[in-house]
Amino acid sequence: MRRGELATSTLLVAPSLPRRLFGRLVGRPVEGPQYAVRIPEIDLRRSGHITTGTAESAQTREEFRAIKRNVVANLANASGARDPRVILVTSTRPGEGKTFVALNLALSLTVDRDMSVTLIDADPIDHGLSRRLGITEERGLFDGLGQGTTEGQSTNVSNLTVIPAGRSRSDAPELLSSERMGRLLESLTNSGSSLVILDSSALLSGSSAAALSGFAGQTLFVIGCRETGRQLVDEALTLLDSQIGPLESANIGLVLNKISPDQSAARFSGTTA
Amino acid sequence: MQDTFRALLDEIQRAWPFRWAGWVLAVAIAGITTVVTLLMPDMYTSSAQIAVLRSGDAALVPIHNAEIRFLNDATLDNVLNAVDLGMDLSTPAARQKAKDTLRRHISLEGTDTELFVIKCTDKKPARAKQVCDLLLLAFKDAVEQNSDTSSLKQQLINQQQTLGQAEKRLQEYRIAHLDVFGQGGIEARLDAARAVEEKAAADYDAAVRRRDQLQAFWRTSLTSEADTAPSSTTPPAGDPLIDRLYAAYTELEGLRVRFSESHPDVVLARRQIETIVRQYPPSIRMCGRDGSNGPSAVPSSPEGLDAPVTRPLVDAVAGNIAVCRALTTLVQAERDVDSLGALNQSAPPIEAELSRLTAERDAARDRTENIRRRIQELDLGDPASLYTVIAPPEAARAPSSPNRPLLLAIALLGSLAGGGGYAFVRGLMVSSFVSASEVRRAYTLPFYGAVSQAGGLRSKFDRSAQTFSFLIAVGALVGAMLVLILADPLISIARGWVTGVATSVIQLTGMIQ
Repeated sequence: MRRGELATSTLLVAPSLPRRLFGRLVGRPVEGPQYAVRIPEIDLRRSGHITTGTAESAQTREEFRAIKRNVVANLANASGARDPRVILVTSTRPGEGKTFVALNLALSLTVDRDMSVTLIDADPIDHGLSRRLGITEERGLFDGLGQGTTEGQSTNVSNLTVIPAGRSRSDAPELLSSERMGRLLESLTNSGSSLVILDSSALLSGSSAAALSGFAGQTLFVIGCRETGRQLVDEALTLLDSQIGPLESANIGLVLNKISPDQSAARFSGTTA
Repeated sequence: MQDTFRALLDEIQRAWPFRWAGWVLAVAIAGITTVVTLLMPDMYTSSAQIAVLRSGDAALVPIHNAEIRFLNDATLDNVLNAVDLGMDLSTPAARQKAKDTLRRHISLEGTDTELFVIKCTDKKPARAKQVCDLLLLAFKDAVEQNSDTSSLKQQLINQQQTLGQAEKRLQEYRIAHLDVFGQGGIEARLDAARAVEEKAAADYDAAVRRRDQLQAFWRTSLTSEADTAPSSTTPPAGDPLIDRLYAAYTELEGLRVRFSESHPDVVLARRQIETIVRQYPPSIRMCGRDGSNGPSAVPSSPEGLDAPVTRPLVDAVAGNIAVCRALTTLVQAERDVDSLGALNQSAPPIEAELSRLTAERDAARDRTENIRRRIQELDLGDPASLYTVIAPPEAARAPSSPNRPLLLAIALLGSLAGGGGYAFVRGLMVSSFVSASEVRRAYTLPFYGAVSQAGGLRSKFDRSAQTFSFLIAVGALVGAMLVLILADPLISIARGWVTGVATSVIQLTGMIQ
């Protein structure tokens, strides 16, 4: 198979989500069937995510703007053979905020008008992103990798495409480390997506995150404030080092999640974006 | 400095999750210490102040040791027998224990060298006064016993012996160094010797001048009498020329008896005399450097001799003899000055030792006189006048201990420190990250940013409410303790309440058993 062939044969970005799903979403009125997934703004806002046009999430937006600047700046720095447009979001253990960071980073990046982002739920255990977006019953990444076709689903947020995890499979870790996964990422980056964000599982809770790190040109390592012990972080970073080589040259950035709002360097500016 | 401040803030944040556990611990500490403080019995102190009027070793020294003298077993026995302290005295061991307890509640303080305070502490003010009265009596007994002159007399005997020894040592030293201390001391003797030396030098100079004049006169007479120059030969020691001159005169006298003046023998003898006279060189017939070996006697002027011829010679010889004698005196005076000067060099240490021995003797003499005078005074005085009770013991109206406000303040500070310390230590045991700066310090990897905890305004409100409720809880603890500390009546009420509850609990326990 030639380079780019997978993109044309397996990636289908089309409004295939049943209409019943829209009934669960609360927020802006549905403007039409041009997208498959509607980002549930109110639910996300309640859980602290960036939502468009609200003042409450201004601080979070500012915080993710800072992270986004670092990510965008790294796009020019290729780490070996890995594409810096593929961004892995991982952590030491579950519950530290990988999905929160991945989703918000994607939302923040889509604000830039010349960026298109594909957000992939690559967590074979938790399916956290899919659950948060309410698309757990859809075909997704693992179905596509197993059958050879993976469909991206458009959303009501412009320039944002989502690939849910799909149904659980026992061979999910192997699929994530397979060549198909590599080809899928390659096709995504070659078919118009500026960035691909992988919401993976925790490094110390399975092998899939370590496997995915081999495809990612950038890694966001999320540390839960007051949750993650230094020893575990060291252990996870050592594991990452053994997978992708020296950390200093691997475009790895640390993100401290769940700090107290009073501690945040970015202050509420009152602007809405 | 900023890093240290941030690190401190990090530690506080780390300890923050354990704040309620710390608060509970603080409340427990404060509660327990408060109950213990309130249950502590009131202690009342009764005191007596005594002024000792007569100063001096005999009166004061035993009082300095009064804790030993009057807080002895006999005194404590008297107190235990006279006052019902509610202690078990049935066995010797119990009695000893009671004495030890009593000793802990009694003190003798010397606020001045002549002012003493007896303090007695007890749970009952009247009993404290009673004990203090008894101790005051014991103290008086101790002082009166001390006023007996017998001990002073013994001290006088000892002191007199010491004085005698000191005087003996001084005398022996003086005798041993009489050359230094005799005849008005070394300095006076040296001065006298120097005066003698100066006089001898003056006498010597005068004698030399006189002799030089006489010799000059003699030479003049020779020149006028004859042309023959005096011989330059040195006459032999012992001045034989004079002897020969006398022998020539003797011979002349014999010839003049037998012959006339114009007899050739007489004329010859007279010429011989003139020759001898001309030969005599008195200027070189000098004594030695120390005045020795000079002409020993002035030749007497022989009768019938030709006076104009012999008189100047005899005078010149006499002048020379005077010079030698003056020189001898001068040399002796110089020797005396030298020897006394050498002796003066070694005088200071000897004089210092003499001064020390003298001071020792004087001190012993003063002490002896002091004791003698005191014995005299005590023989005349009244022992009761040795002391005056300035403030007799009285029953205390207010308890002297415990200092409950102070103890409660310490309890409050201790509880806060204990609770805070617990939270802080628990925080130290947590290894997780609490701030972005801590992550930056820990790793060299790029730090992309920190994300606030999800939850928005509601989460903020919750956190504020938690902080507020914690501050209220801490304030309640501090406020409650401050009320107890600052309000004495409340303390009394609370103590009564706690005591009542405790008594009830004890009674109830007894009934159940």
